[in-house]
Amino acid sequence: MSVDSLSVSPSSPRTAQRNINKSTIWMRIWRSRVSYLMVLPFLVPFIIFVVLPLIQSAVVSTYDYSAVATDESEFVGLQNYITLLSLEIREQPALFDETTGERIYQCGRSKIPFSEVAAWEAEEGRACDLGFVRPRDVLTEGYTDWKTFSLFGNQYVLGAQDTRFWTSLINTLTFVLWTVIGRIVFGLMVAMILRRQSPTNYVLRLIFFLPSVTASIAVTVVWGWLFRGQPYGLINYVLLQTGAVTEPISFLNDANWTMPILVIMSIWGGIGYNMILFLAGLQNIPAELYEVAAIDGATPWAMFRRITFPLLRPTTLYVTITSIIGGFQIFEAVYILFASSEGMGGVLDSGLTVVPYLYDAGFRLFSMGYASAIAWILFAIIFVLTLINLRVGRVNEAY
Amino acid sequence: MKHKLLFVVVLLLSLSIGFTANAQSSGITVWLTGDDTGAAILQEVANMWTETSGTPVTVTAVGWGDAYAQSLAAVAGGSGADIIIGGMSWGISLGSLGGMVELSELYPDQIAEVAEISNPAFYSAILTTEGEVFYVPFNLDTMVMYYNTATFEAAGLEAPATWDDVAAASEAGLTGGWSWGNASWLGFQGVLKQAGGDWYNADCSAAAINSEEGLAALEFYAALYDDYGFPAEQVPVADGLAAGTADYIFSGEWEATGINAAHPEIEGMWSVAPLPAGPSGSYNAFIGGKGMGIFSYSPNVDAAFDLMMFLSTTEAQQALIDLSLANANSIHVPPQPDNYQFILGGDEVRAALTAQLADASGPSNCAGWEESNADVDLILQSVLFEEMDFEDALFELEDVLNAALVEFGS
Repeated sequence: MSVDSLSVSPSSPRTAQRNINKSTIWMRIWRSRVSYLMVLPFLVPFIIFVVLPLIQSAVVSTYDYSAVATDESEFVGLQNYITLLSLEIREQPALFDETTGERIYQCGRSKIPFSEVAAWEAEEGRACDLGFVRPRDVLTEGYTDWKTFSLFGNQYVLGAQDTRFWTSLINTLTFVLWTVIGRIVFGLMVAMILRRQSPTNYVLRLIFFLPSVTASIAVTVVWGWLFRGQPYGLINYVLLQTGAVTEPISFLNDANWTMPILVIMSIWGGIGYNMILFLAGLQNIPAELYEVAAIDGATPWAMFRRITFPLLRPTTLYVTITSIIGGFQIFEAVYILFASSEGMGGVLDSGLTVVPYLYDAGFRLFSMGYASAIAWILFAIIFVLTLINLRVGRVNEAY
Repeated sequence: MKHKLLFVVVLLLSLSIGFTANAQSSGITVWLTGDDTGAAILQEVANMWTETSGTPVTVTAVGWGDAYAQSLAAVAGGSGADIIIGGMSWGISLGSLGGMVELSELYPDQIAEVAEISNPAFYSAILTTEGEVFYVPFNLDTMVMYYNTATFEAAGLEAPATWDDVAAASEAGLTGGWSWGNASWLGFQGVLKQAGGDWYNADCSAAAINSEEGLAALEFYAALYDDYGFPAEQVPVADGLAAGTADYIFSGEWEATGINAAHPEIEGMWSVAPLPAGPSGSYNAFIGGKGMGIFSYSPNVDAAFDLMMFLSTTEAQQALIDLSLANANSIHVPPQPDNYQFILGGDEVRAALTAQLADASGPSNCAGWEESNADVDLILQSVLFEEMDFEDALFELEDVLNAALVEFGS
């Protein structure tokens, strides 16, 4: 052993403390070695199949990476994230006729000067809109128009470098919002109705829970048949037979119907699971509270508002968080109902959500770096929302 | 304890022998995109080659949903099948990533012969702009028009042969619909070519969509939905004809053998014809199908290529045609025009297919086309469902295609 190695540095107390801590950690591990050995069968696959791919995915998200032509991979830093998240707002000037100076109006598919608008509107029976310069032309190169909107009398265009990502994100947020509300409201409602122990309620609970244990792919295919846009699509058949409509509704190829269909399917499939959770929560509420409230003359609504709902808060929080996480991961329904030769997200990308878009980027275009960046953005969103939920839940822990 | 140790050693040895034997196997493995019935049919035909070559062949079916990702994973991992039989655009996309053997360099004479005997539209779709060939044609799919003979006869009309006939059919109260290629570039491409237009110019240096022909195509395409009663949703051929919801439907040739099976009550009440011709006189339809390629990691390139050449022979194609109809009630369309005469499924079907295959075109092989598909579809759908101005749409299409040319071009 050399003299140097025995010398003590000026920061020795801290180093010594660190060494003690380190040796304590190793000693603790050694003392609990049997427990750690027991955990190994889980830990090793977890590290290999979860932790390492996660780290690799984070690294890959900073590359222009295709996984096949690995030698052509290029480090791009945060470029994938910048491309995905960049937005730009620009004012959209009105269109004027170059020779007459008249304002141009958009009438149906045609652009016509103001002097001809009245005649067109009289003939077609519908109104024209003001015409504006093409949104794409007012944006910086690399951006494409995503949305246009009016504010204080001016027309603006919102551009993005990847408009499909933003569309998928807004669609996903819309889906999550309605699904979470629907699943909680209907799940709680069914739980309240079926809370009493009786043979009929047992059967009804089973019926409500069945969709949760049915293969989601099979269920989606059946919903697809229900929503077929032909007269023999089951919902259209009923609507036509009852005279509610005269022409079949093109449910699956109408951008206005895409999201409601996804939400309805998801709520239907999730009510049963949430019902079970709420039933468990309801059983934990002491019956005496209701008895006291009844003696005090509380109405059923007051009992629900003052006793049931507050005491169900932990369950509601859990249901909210799991529903949000599940909602953000929606894939099968979109893929089965809408992915076809017409595109991944249905007509006008109205059903495109983040995970199908990620799949499209990763497994059709094989932009693995880009797809990984999408996955990490999705993770960040879910993480933040979960934190907010937990914080809100903690604030209300007074109950 | 010693017994246990001995058992483990023996187990490991036997496993390693098994792996060694597997690695030394000289057989050819083929991944066929499709179902197990198709794989069984191809296995039977491949066995004919085994009889003469002595090399065993194993055909495995891979579902359409998984096949491309599985191929990419195989290329990335450097192991898997020797041959992939899959979507026609995969040859170029996998080849450009270095995952496929470039065939024209290794086998120039045979590939020149393949080019000569194959359907020119399919062949040009699998040829890169640099002249590389990663695929050999396996079979064709194309779009044709199915129509209700009874309703057209009642209206005193023939099946629509031109765009004007489509308008006349609409005036007579007859409606049409898309099954394959509804509201997407896949269906629009035929209309564009019928108008005499194209996505790109001949040397793929710029988009050519923003043209008079492009405008005529968009106008007719929108009129199909706005004026001629085409529903926004795709119309299943057999159900649509049987239920009377559509009098003529554009779809793939594979529907032909399923209509009578699904709805025996309309047997003899429907027929097939090529798509209606546009102002250019063309009645162009989209052509798809499957090609065969060899993975670049394959240790059996020569044998694999020999098998592919065998599958391109008239003998093998005829066997595929016969077995497909007998075992799967499906039409195998050979990629060689000389073999169209063997197509089964009825004289009318064969005649319509032969005519349509003479005027068909595959997806563009210009750089960035695949990546532009989603944006092109969005613009077309905006025209159909959001009343987007035709000229704006053409400018947008031009922008999208040119931007992708710049981004993905060499």
